[in-house]
Amino acid sequence: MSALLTVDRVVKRFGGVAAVDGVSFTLDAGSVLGLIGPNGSGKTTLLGVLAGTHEPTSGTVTLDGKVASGKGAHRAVHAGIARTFQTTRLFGSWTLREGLRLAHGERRGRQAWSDDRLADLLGLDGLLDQPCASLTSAAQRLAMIALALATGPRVLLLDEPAVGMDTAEAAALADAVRRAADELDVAVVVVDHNMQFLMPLADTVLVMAAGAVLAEGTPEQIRADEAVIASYLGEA
Amino acid sequence: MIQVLVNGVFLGCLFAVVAVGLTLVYGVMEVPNFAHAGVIVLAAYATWSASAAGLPFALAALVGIACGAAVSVLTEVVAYRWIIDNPAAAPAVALGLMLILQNTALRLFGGEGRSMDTPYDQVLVEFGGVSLSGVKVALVVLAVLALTALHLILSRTSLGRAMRAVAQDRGAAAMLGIPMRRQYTLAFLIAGLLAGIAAVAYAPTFQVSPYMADEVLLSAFVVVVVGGLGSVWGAVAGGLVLGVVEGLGSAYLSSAYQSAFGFLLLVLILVLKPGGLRGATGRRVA
Repeated sequence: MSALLTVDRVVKRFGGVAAVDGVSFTLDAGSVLGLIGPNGSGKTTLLGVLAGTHEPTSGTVTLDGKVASGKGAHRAVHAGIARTFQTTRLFGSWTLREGLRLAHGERRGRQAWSDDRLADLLGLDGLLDQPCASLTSAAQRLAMIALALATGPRVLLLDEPAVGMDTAEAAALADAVRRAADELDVAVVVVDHNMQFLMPLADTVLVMAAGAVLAEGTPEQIRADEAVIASYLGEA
Repeated sequence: MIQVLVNGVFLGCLFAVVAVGLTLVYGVMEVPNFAHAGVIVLAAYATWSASAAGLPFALAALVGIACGAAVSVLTEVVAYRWIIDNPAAAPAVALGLMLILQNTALRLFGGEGRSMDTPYDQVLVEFGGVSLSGVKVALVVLAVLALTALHLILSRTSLGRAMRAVAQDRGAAAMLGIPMRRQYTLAFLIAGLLAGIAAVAYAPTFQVSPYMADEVLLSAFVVVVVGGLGSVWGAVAGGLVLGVVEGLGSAYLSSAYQSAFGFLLLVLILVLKPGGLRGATGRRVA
Protein backbone atom coordinates (compact mmCIF):
# COMPACT_ATOMS: atom_id res chain seq x y z
CA MET A 1 0.00 0.00 0.00
CA SER A 2 1.36 3.39 -0.91
CA ALA A 3 1.44 6.21 1.59
CA LEU A 4 -1.47 8.63 2.03
CA LEU A 5 0.69 11.74 1.98
CA THR A 6 3.97 11.97 0.08
CA VAL A 7 6.24 14.96 0.47
CA ASP A 8 8.86 14.87 -2.25
CA ARG A 9 11.99 17.06 -2.13
CA VAL A 10 10.07 20.17 -1.13
CA VAL A 11 12.03 23.44 -1.26
CA LYS A 12 10.63 26.81 -0.24
CA ARG A 13 12.75 29.91 -0.75
CA PHE A 14 11.96 33.42 0.46
CA GLY A 15 14.25 35.64 -1.59
CA GLY A 16 17.65 33.97 -1.32
CA VAL A 17 16.88 32.07 1.88
CA ALA A 18 15.76 28.46 1.68
CA ALA A 19 13.41 28.15 4.66
CA VAL A 20 12.68 24.57 3.64
CA ASP A 21 15.51 22.92 1.76
CA GLY A 22 14.66 19.58 0.21
CA VAL A 23 12.39 17.81 2.68
CA SER A 24 10.94 14.39 1.84
CA PHE A 25 8.81 12.04 3.93
CA THR A 26 5.71 9.89 3.68
CA LEU A 27 2.79 9.52 6.04
CA ASP A 28 0.19 6.76 6.36
CA ALA A 29 -3.44 7.18 7.32
CA GLY A 30 -3.92 6.90 11.08
CA SER A 31 -0.35 7.71 11.96
CA VAL A 32 1.06 10.67 13.87
CA LEU A 33 4.22 12.43 12.77
CA GLY A 34 5.97 14.71 15.25
CA LEU A 35 7.86 17.56 13.63
CA ILE A 36 10.53 19.10 15.84
CA GLY A 37 13.52 21.37 15.49
CA PRO A 38 14.92 24.66 16.77
CA ASN A 39 13.13 27.94 16.08
CA GLY A 40 13.72 29.00 12.48
CA SER A 41 14.43 25.45 11.30
CA GLY A 42 11.55 25.63 8.81
CA LYS A 43 8.82 23.64 10.60
CA THR A 44 6.09 26.26 10.25
CA THR A 45 7.06 27.02 6.65
CA LEU A 46 6.86 23.31 5.84
CA LEU A 47 3.43 23.20 7.46
CA GLY A 48 2.46 26.20 5.31
CA VAL A 49 3.55 24.34 2.17
CA LEU A 50 1.53 21.27 3.21
CA ALA A 51 -1.49 23.49 3.97
CA GLY A 52 -1.31 25.19 0.58
CA THR A 53 -0.52 28.64 2.02
CA HIS A 54 2.97 28.63 0.50
CA GLU A 55 3.64 27.43 -3.00
CA PRO A 56 6.78 25.27 -2.95
CA THR A 57 9.70 26.67 -4.97
CA SER A 58 10.27 23.09 -6.11
CA GLY A 59 9.12 19.63 -5.12
CA THR A 60 5.58 18.36 -4.62
CA VAL A 61 3.13 17.25 -1.97
CA THR A 62 0.81 14.48 -3.12
CA LEU A 63 -2.28 13.24 -1.34
CA ASP A 64 -3.51 9.85 -2.51
CA GLY A 65 -1.42 10.19 -5.67
CA LYS A 66 -2.79 13.63 -6.56
CA VAL A 67 -0.62 16.74 -6.37
CA ALA A 68 -2.00 18.89 -3.54
CA SER A 69 0.68 21.58 -3.21
CA GLY A 70 0.71 25.10 -4.62
CA LYS A 71 -3.00 25.53 -5.13
CA GLY A 72 -3.94 27.82 -2.27
CA ALA A 73 -5.19 27.23 1.25
CA HIS A 74 -8.87 26.68 0.52
CA ARG A 75 -8.10 24.14 -2.22
CA ALA A 76 -5.91 22.20 0.21
CA VAL A 77 -8.82 22.04 2.67
CA HIS A 78 -11.13 20.91 -0.10
CA ALA A 79 -8.58 18.25 -1.10
CA GLY A 80 -8.54 16.96 2.49
CA ILE A 81 -5.66 18.74 4.25
CA ALA A 82 -6.78 20.81 7.25
CA ARG A 83 -4.68 22.79 9.69
CA THR A 84 -4.74 24.72 12.95
CA PHE A 85 -2.62 27.71 13.94
CA GLN A 86 -0.18 28.52 16.74
CA THR A 87 -2.52 31.28 17.92
CA THR A 88 -6.13 30.36 18.60
CA ARG A 89 -8.37 31.27 15.69
CA LEU A 90 -12.07 30.85 16.40
CA PHE A 91 -15.40 32.54 15.82
CA GLY A 92 -15.66 34.03 19.30
CA SER A 93 -19.27 35.18 19.31
CA TRP A 94 -20.53 31.94 17.76
CA THR A 95 -21.06 28.67 19.55
CA LEU A 96 -18.83 25.79 18.54
CA ARG A 97 -21.84 24.13 16.91
CA GLU A 98 -22.35 27.16 14.63
CA GLY A 99 -18.70 27.05 13.63
CA LEU A 100 -18.85 23.30 12.99
CA ARG A 101 -21.89 23.84 10.79
CA LEU A 102 -19.92 26.25 8.64
CA ALA A 103 -16.98 23.83 8.49
CA HIS A 104 -19.22 20.97 7.39
CA GLY A 105 -20.10 23.08 4.34
CA GLU A 106 -16.49 22.76 3.12
CA ARG A 107 -16.26 18.96 3.26
CA ARG A 108 -16.94 18.43 -0.45
CA GLY A 109 -18.55 15.06 0.08
CA ARG A 110 -15.91 13.57 2.35
CA GLN A 111 -16.50 11.73 5.60
CA ALA A 112 -18.78 13.55 8.04
CA TRP A 113 -18.23 13.16 11.76
CA SER A 114 -21.16 14.34 13.81
CA ASP A 115 -20.81 17.32 16.15
CA ASP A 116 -21.35 15.03 19.14
CA ARG A 117 -18.69 12.60 17.97
CA LEU A 118 -16.16 15.40 17.52
CA ALA A 119 -17.07 16.87 20.91
CA ASP A 120 -16.66 13.46 22.54
CA LEU A 121 -13.36 12.83 20.78
CA LEU A 122 -11.90 16.15 21.91
CA GLY A 123 -13.40 16.12 25.40
CA LEU A 124 -15.65 19.07 24.63
CA ASP A 125 -18.91 17.39 25.65
CA GLY A 126 -21.43 19.90 26.91
CA LEU A 127 -19.55 22.85 25.43
CA LEU A 128 -21.03 22.71 21.93
CA ASP A 129 -23.62 25.38 22.59
CA GLN A 130 -21.49 27.91 24.43
CA PRO A 131 -19.98 30.92 22.70
CA CYS A 132 -16.38 30.03 21.83
CA ALA A 133 -15.12 33.23 23.50
CA SER A 134 -16.37 31.92 26.86
CA LEU A 135 -14.34 28.67 26.73
CA THR A 136 -11.06 28.25 28.62
CA SER A 137 -7.96 28.76 26.52
CA ALA A 138 -7.22 25.01 26.50
CA ALA A 139 -10.81 24.26 25.40
CA GLN A 140 -10.50 26.91 22.69
CA ARG A 141 -7.43 25.16 21.29
CA LEU A 142 -9.36 21.86 21.25
CA ALA A 143 -12.31 23.65 19.64
CA MET A 144 -10.02 24.88 16.88
CA ILE A 145 -9.01 21.26 16.23
CA ALA A 146 -12.70 20.29 16.19
CA LEU A 147 -13.34 22.94 13.52
CA ALA A 148 -10.44 21.62 11.42
CA LEU A 149 -11.71 18.02 11.80
CA ALA A 150 -15.24 19.10 10.82
CA THR A 151 -13.95 19.79 7.31
CA GLY A 152 -13.49 16.01 7.06
CA PRO A 153 -9.72 15.98 6.44
CA ARG A 154 -7.53 12.98 5.56
CA VAL A 155 -4.51 14.89 6.88
CA LEU A 156 -4.54 17.17 9.93
CA LEU A 157 -1.72 19.65 10.55
CA LEU A 158 -1.35 20.94 14.12
CA ASP A 159 0.96 23.90 14.68
CA GLU A 160 2.06 23.93 18.34
CA PRO A 161 -1.29 22.74 19.70
CA ALA A 162 -0.01 22.31 23.27
CA VAL A 163 1.40 25.81 23.65
CA GLY A 164 0.23 27.39 26.90
CA MET A 165 -1.21 24.13 28.24
CA ASP A 166 -0.37 22.60 31.60
CA THR A 167 0.70 18.95 31.87
CA ALA A 168 -2.83 17.60 32.38
CA GLU A 169 -4.26 19.63 29.52
CA ALA A 170 -1.45 18.57 27.20
CA ALA A 171 -2.04 14.91 28.14
CA ALA A 172 -5.75 15.28 27.33
CA LEU A 173 -4.82 16.89 24.03
CA ALA A 174 -2.42 14.05 23.19
CA ASP A 175 -5.17 11.56 23.97
CA ALA A 176 -7.60 13.44 21.69
CA VAL A 177 -5.11 13.57 18.81
CA ARG A 178 -4.34 9.86 19.21
CA ARG A 179 -8.04 9.05 19.10
CA ALA A 180 -8.55 11.25 16.02
CA ALA A 181 -5.79 9.32 14.25
CA ASP A 182 -7.01 5.88 15.39
CA GLU A 183 -10.77 6.30 15.17
CA LEU A 184 -11.08 8.71 12.24
CA ASP A 185 -8.09 7.26 10.36
CA VAL A 186 -6.64 10.75 9.92
CA ALA A 187 -2.92 11.24 9.33
CA VAL A 188 -1.60 13.90 11.74
CA VAL A 189 1.46 16.13 11.58
CA VAL A 190 2.19 17.82 14.92
CA VAL A 191 4.71 20.60 15.41
CA ASP A 192 5.52 21.25 19.05
CA HIS A 193 8.37 22.09 21.38
CA ASN A 194 6.83 20.23 24.31
CA MET A 195 8.68 16.87 24.20
CA GLN A 196 6.73 15.47 27.15
CA PHE A 197 3.60 15.94 25.04
CA LEU A 198 4.96 15.02 21.63
CA MET A 199 7.23 12.01 22.21
CA PRO A 200 4.60 9.63 23.66
CA LEU A 201 2.12 10.73 21.00
CA ALA A 202 4.18 10.45 17.82
CA ASP A 203 4.65 7.23 15.81
CA THR A 204 7.58 8.79 14.01
CA VAL A 205 9.53 11.95 14.65
CA LEU A 206 11.12 14.15 12.02
CA VAL A 207 13.82 16.53 13.20
CA MET A 208 14.49 19.62 11.11
CA ALA A 209 17.53 21.87 11.24
CA ALA A 210 18.22 24.79 8.89
CA GLY A 211 15.40 23.79 6.57
CA ALA A 212 16.53 20.18 6.05
CA VAL A 213 15.76 16.85 7.69
CA LEU A 214 18.37 16.16 10.38
CA ALA A 215 16.95 12.83 11.51
CA GLU A 216 13.87 10.69 11.19
CA GLY A 217 12.84 7.73 13.31
CA THR A 218 10.77 6.43 16.19
CA PRO A 219 10.71 8.60 19.33
CA GLU A 220 13.19 6.17 20.98
CA GLN A 221 15.63 6.42 18.09
CA ILE A 222 15.37 10.21 18.08
CA ARG A 223 15.96 10.43 21.84
CA ALA A 224 19.14 8.42 21.38
CA ASP A 225 20.37 10.28 18.28
CA GLU A 226 23.51 12.22 19.13
CA ALA A 227 23.17 14.74 16.30
CA VAL A 228 19.69 15.57 17.49
CA ILE A 229 20.78 15.90 21.10
CA ALA A 230 23.58 18.20 20.05
CA SER A 231 21.45 20.44 17.86
CA TYR A 232 18.15 20.49 19.70
CA LEU A 233 17.25 18.21 22.57
CA GLY A 234 20.47 18.93 24.40
CA GLU A 235 19.63 22.58 24.86
CA ALA A 236 16.62 21.80 27.04
CA MET B 1 -41.96 67.61 16.58
CA ILE B 2 -43.24 64.45 14.90
CA GLN B 3 -42.46 66.00 11.53
CA VAL B 4 -38.87 66.57 12.67
CA LEU B 5 -38.58 62.99 13.89
CA VAL B 6 -39.94 61.64 10.62
CA ASN B 7 -37.42 63.70 8.68
CA GLY B 8 -34.76 62.35 11.01
CA VAL B 9 -35.84 58.81 10.23
CA PHE B 10 -35.56 59.60 6.51
CA LEU B 11 -31.99 60.84 6.97
CA GLY B 12 -31.28 57.90 9.24
CA CYS B 13 -32.39 55.39 6.61
CA LEU B 14 -30.08 57.03 4.08
CA PHE B 15 -27.15 56.97 6.51
CA ALA B 16 -27.91 53.35 7.42
CA VAL B 17 -27.91 52.09 3.82
CA VAL B 18 -24.61 53.85 3.07
CA ALA B 19 -23.06 52.88 6.41
CA VAL B 20 -23.99 49.20 6.12
CA GLY B 21 -22.08 49.06 2.82
CA LEU B 22 -19.05 50.60 4.53
CA THR B 23 -19.20 48.41 7.61
CA LEU B 24 -19.60 45.21 5.59
CA VAL B 25 -16.45 45.96 3.61
CA TYR B 26 -14.63 47.01 6.76
CA GLY B 27 -15.74 43.87 8.59
CA VAL B 28 -14.58 41.51 5.87
CA MET B 29 -11.50 43.29 4.54
CA GLU B 30 -10.63 46.00 7.09
CA VAL B 31 -10.67 48.72 4.46
CA PRO B 32 -12.09 52.21 5.20
CA ASN B 33 -13.78 52.41 1.82
CA PHE B 34 -13.85 56.16 1.02
CA ALA B 35 -14.39 55.18 -2.63
CA HIS B 36 -17.94 54.30 -1.61
CA ALA B 37 -18.78 57.98 -2.22
CA GLY B 38 -17.48 57.72 -5.80
CA VAL B 39 -19.57 54.58 -6.34
CA ILE B 40 -22.68 56.50 -5.23
CA VAL B 41 -21.82 59.38 -7.60
CA LEU B 42 -21.34 57.13 -10.63
CA ALA B 43 -24.49 55.15 -9.84
CA ALA B 44 -26.47 58.41 -9.64
CA TYR B 45 -25.06 59.63 -12.95
CA ALA B 46 -25.80 56.28 -14.59
CA THR B 47 -29.42 56.56 -13.47
CA TRP B 48 -29.61 60.16 -14.63
CA SER B 49 -28.08 59.30 -18.05
CA ALA B 50 -30.35 56.31 -18.58
CA SER B 51 -33.34 58.42 -17.61
CA ALA B 52 -32.25 61.28 -19.89
CA ALA B 53 -31.85 58.77 -22.72
CA GLY B 54 -35.53 57.98 -22.43
CA LEU B 55 -35.63 54.87 -20.22
CA PRO B 56 -38.52 54.71 -17.76
CA PHE B 57 -37.39 55.66 -14.24
CA ALA B 58 -37.66 52.14 -12.81
CA LEU B 59 -35.35 50.77 -15.50
CA ALA B 60 -32.98 53.71 -15.17
CA ALA B 61 -32.82 53.02 -11.43
CA LEU B 62 -31.87 49.41 -12.11
CA VAL B 63 -29.15 50.59 -14.50
CA GLY B 64 -27.82 52.85 -11.75
CA ILE B 65 -27.85 50.11 -9.11
CA ALA B 66 -26.11 47.69 -11.49
CA CYS B 67 -23.53 50.37 -12.27
CA GLY B 68 -22.90 50.88 -8.53
CA ALA B 69 -22.36 47.14 -8.07
CA ALA B 70 -20.03 46.95 -11.08
CA VAL B 71 -17.90 49.95 -10.03
CA SER B 72 -17.66 48.69 -6.45
CA VAL B 73 -16.52 45.23 -7.53
CA LEU B 74 -14.07 46.88 -9.91
CA THR B 75 -12.41 48.79 -7.03
CA GLU B 76 -11.90 45.49 -5.22
CA VAL B 77 -10.57 43.61 -8.25
CA VAL B 78 -8.17 46.28 -9.50
CA ALA B 79 -7.06 47.82 -6.20
CA TYR B 80 -8.07 46.52 -2.77
CA ARG B 81 -7.33 42.87 -3.58
CA TRP B 82 -3.68 43.72 -4.10
CA ILE B 83 -3.13 45.40 -0.75
CA ILE B 84 -4.85 42.83 1.46
CA ASP B 85 -1.53 41.97 3.17
CA ASN B 86 -0.68 45.63 3.63
CA PRO B 87 -3.50 47.21 5.64
CA ALA B 88 -1.58 50.44 6.23
CA ALA B 89 -1.96 51.22 2.51
CA ALA B 90 -5.74 50.85 2.57
CA PRO B 91 -6.75 54.42 3.58
CA ALA B 92 -4.47 55.97 0.94
CA VAL B 93 -5.70 53.61 -1.77
CA ALA B 94 -9.30 54.29 -0.72
CA LEU B 95 -8.82 58.06 -0.91
CA GLY B 96 -7.09 57.76 -4.28
CA LEU B 97 -9.93 55.64 -5.63
CA MET B 98 -12.49 58.16 -4.40
CA LEU B 99 -10.69 60.98 -6.26
CA ILE B 100 -10.43 58.85 -9.41
CA LEU B 101 -14.14 58.00 -9.37
CA GLN B 102 -15.23 61.58 -8.62
CA ASN B 103 -13.03 62.98 -11.34
CA THR B 104 -14.30 60.38 -13.78
CA ALA B 105 -17.77 61.78 -13.11
CA LEU B 106 -16.48 65.36 -13.42
CA ARG B 107 -14.82 64.55 -16.73
CA LEU B 108 -17.83 62.76 -18.17
CA PHE B 109 -20.65 64.94 -16.91
CA GLY B 110 -19.13 68.26 -15.83
CA GLY B 111 -19.33 69.95 -12.44
CA GLU B 112 -22.83 71.34 -12.76
CA GLY B 113 -25.53 69.72 -10.69
CA ARG B 114 -28.21 67.86 -12.59
CA SER B 115 -31.63 67.34 -11.20
CA MET B 116 -33.06 63.86 -11.30
CA ASP B 117 -36.76 63.63 -12.09
CA THR B 118 -38.81 60.75 -10.77
CA PRO B 119 -42.44 59.84 -11.36
CA TYR B 120 -43.08 60.29 -7.66
CA ASP B 121 -41.34 63.55 -6.80
CA GLN B 122 -44.54 65.59 -6.90
CA VAL B 123 -46.34 63.16 -4.62
CA LEU B 124 -46.90 64.25 -1.04
CA VAL B 125 -47.88 61.63 1.49
CA GLU B 126 -49.79 62.91 4.53
CA PHE B 127 -51.00 61.15 7.61
CA GLY B 128 -51.69 62.35 11.11
CA GLY B 129 -50.48 65.87 10.42
CA VAL B 130 -47.13 64.67 9.08
CA SER B 131 -46.29 65.20 5.43
CA LEU B 132 -43.50 63.46 3.62
CA SER B 133 -42.51 63.81 -0.02
CA GLY B 134 -42.81 60.80 -2.31
CA VAL B 135 -39.01 60.75 -2.68
CA LYS B 136 -38.53 60.37 1.06
CA VAL B 137 -41.18 57.69 1.36
CA ALA B 138 -39.56 55.80 -1.51
CA LEU B 139 -36.16 56.02 0.19
CA VAL B 140 -37.48 54.71 3.50
CA VAL B 141 -39.26 51.83 1.75
CA LEU B 142 -36.19 50.97 -0.35
CA ALA B 143 -33.92 51.14 2.69
CA VAL B 144 -36.14 48.82 4.73
CA LEU B 145 -36.42 46.34 1.86
CA ALA B 146 -32.68 46.38 1.12
CA LEU B 147 -31.63 45.98 4.76
CA THR B 148 -34.17 43.21 5.37
CA ALA B 149 -32.91 41.37 2.30
CA LEU B 150 -29.33 41.77 3.51
CA HIS B 151 -30.28 40.50 6.95
CA LEU B 152 -31.86 37.39 5.42
CA ILE B 153 -28.81 36.76 3.24
CA LEU B 154 -26.40 37.12 6.17
CA SER B 155 -28.42 35.01 8.59
CA ARG B 156 -30.03 32.36 6.40
CA THR B 157 -27.64 31.51 3.57
CA SER B 158 -24.34 29.65 3.65
CA LEU B 159 -22.71 32.52 1.76
CA GLY B 160 -23.92 34.93 4.45
CA ARG B 161 -22.67 32.66 7.24
CA ALA B 162 -19.30 32.45 5.52
CA MET B 163 -19.19 36.25 5.30
CA ARG B 164 -19.96 36.62 9.02
CA ALA B 165 -17.27 34.03 9.72
CA VAL B 166 -14.68 35.99 7.73
CA ALA B 167 -15.65 39.17 9.58
CA GLN B 168 -15.16 37.45 12.95
CA ASP B 169 -11.79 35.85 12.24
CA ARG B 170 -10.17 35.71 8.84
CA GLY B 171 -7.67 33.10 9.97
CA ALA B 172 -10.32 30.72 11.28
CA ALA B 173 -12.39 31.18 8.12
CA ALA B 174 -9.37 30.41 5.94
CA MET B 175 -8.64 27.36 8.11
CA LEU B 176 -12.07 25.99 7.21
CA GLY B 177 -11.39 26.33 3.50
CA ILE B 178 -13.59 29.34 2.81
CA PRO B 179 -12.34 30.99 -0.40
CA MET B 180 -11.40 34.45 0.87
CA ARG B 181 -11.26 36.23 -2.48
CA ARG B 182 -14.83 35.30 -3.25
CA GLN B 183 -15.86 36.74 0.12
CA TYR B 184 -14.05 40.02 -0.58
CA THR B 185 -15.70 40.34 -3.99
CA LEU B 186 -19.09 39.48 -2.55
CA ALA B 187 -18.75 42.14 0.18
CA PHE B 188 -17.96 44.77 -2.44
CA LEU B 189 -20.82 43.55 -4.64
CA ILE B 190 -23.32 43.94 -1.81
CA ALA B 191 -21.83 47.31 -0.80
CA GLY B 192 -22.10 48.46 -4.43
CA LEU B 193 -25.73 47.40 -4.68
CA LEU B 194 -26.48 49.32 -1.47
CA ALA B 195 -24.57 52.36 -2.77
CA GLY B 196 -26.61 52.19 -5.99
CA ILE B 197 -29.86 51.97 -4.04
CA ALA B 198 -28.82 54.93 -1.87
CA ALA B 199 -27.88 56.94 -4.96
CA VAL B 200 -31.16 56.27 -6.75
CA ALA B 201 -33.16 56.95 -3.63
CA TYR B 202 -31.67 60.22 -2.46
CA ALA B 203 -30.39 61.85 -5.68
CA PRO B 204 -33.87 63.29 -6.42
CA THR B 205 -33.87 65.28 -3.14
CA PHE B 206 -30.44 66.74 -3.75
CA GLN B 207 -28.76 67.08 -7.11
CA VAL B 208 -26.60 64.72 -9.07
CA SER B 209 -23.05 66.09 -8.92
CA PRO B 210 -19.54 64.70 -8.43
CA TYR B 211 -19.61 65.90 -4.81
CA MET B 212 -23.14 64.81 -3.93
CA ALA B 213 -21.98 62.01 -1.62
CA ASP B 214 -19.23 63.77 0.35
CA GLU B 215 -21.33 64.78 3.34
CA VAL B 216 -23.30 61.55 3.33
CA LEU B 217 -20.04 59.59 3.37
CA LEU B 218 -18.75 61.57 6.35
CA SER B 219 -22.00 61.00 8.25
CA ALA B 220 -21.96 57.33 7.28
CA PHE B 221 -18.44 56.97 8.71
CA VAL B 222 -19.66 58.52 11.93
CA VAL B 223 -22.43 55.92 11.88
CA VAL B 224 -19.99 53.08 11.27
CA VAL B 225 -17.83 54.09 14.23
CA VAL B 226 -20.84 54.81 16.46
CA GLY B 227 -22.42 51.48 15.54
CA GLY B 228 -19.23 49.52 16.16
CA LEU B 229 -16.89 48.75 13.26
CA GLY B 230 -18.09 45.79 11.23
CA SER B 231 -21.50 45.51 12.88
CA VAL B 232 -24.44 45.64 10.45
CA TRP B 233 -27.12 46.15 13.09
CA GLY B 234 -24.92 48.66 14.85
CA ALA B 235 -24.79 50.59 11.56
CA VAL B 236 -28.58 50.48 11.18
CA ALA B 237 -29.15 51.62 14.77
CA GLY B 238 -26.38 54.22 14.51
CA GLY B 239 -27.83 55.52 11.23
CA LEU B 240 -31.23 56.07 12.75
CA VAL B 241 -29.79 57.69 15.89
CA LEU B 242 -27.59 60.01 13.85
CA GLY B 243 -30.43 60.91 11.47
CA VAL B 244 -32.72 61.83 14.33
CA VAL B 245 -29.99 63.75 16.18
CA GLU B 246 -29.07 65.74 13.08
CA GLY B 247 -32.76 66.31 12.33
CA LEU B 248 -33.52 67.55 15.85
CA GLY B 249 -30.36 69.64 16.02
CA SER B 250 -30.96 71.41 12.73
CA ALA B 251 -34.64 72.02 13.51
CA TYR B 252 -34.25 73.36 17.03
CA LEU B 253 -30.72 74.74 17.20
CA SER B 254 -29.19 75.62 13.84
CA SER B 255 -29.39 73.96 10.45
CA ALA B 256 -25.97 75.33 9.53
CA TYR B 257 -24.49 72.95 12.09
CA GLN B 258 -26.39 69.84 10.95
CA SER B 259 -23.26 67.74 10.36
CA ALA B 260 -21.60 69.11 13.49
CA PHE B 261 -24.27 67.47 15.64
CA GLY B 262 -23.23 64.15 14.18
CA PHE B 263 -19.62 64.66 15.16
CA LEU B 264 -20.64 65.82 18.61
CA LEU B 265 -22.52 62.53 18.94
CA LEU B 266 -19.43 60.66 17.70
CA VAL B 267 -17.20 62.28 20.33
CA LEU B 268 -19.74 61.62 23.08
CA ILE B 269 -20.12 57.95 22.17
CA LEU B 270 -16.38 57.40 21.82
CA VAL B 271 -15.85 58.89 25.27
CA LEU B 272 -18.64 56.88 26.89
CA LYS B 273 -18.39 53.63 24.91
CA PRO B 274 -15.11 53.40 22.99
CA GLY B 275 -16.10 50.20 21.19
CA GLY B 276 -19.19 51.77 19.66
CA LEU B 277 -22.77 50.73 20.35
CA ARG B 278 -22.16 47.12 19.39
CA GLY B 279 -18.45 46.85 18.89
CA ALA B 280 -17.47 45.90 22.42
CA THR B 281 -16.68 42.27 21.69
CA GLY B 282 -14.74 42.82 18.53
CA ARG B 283 -15.63 42.96 14.89
CA ARG B 284 -18.66 41.23 13.57
CA VAL B 285 -21.12 41.41 10.74
CA ALA B 286 -24.79 41.06 11.74
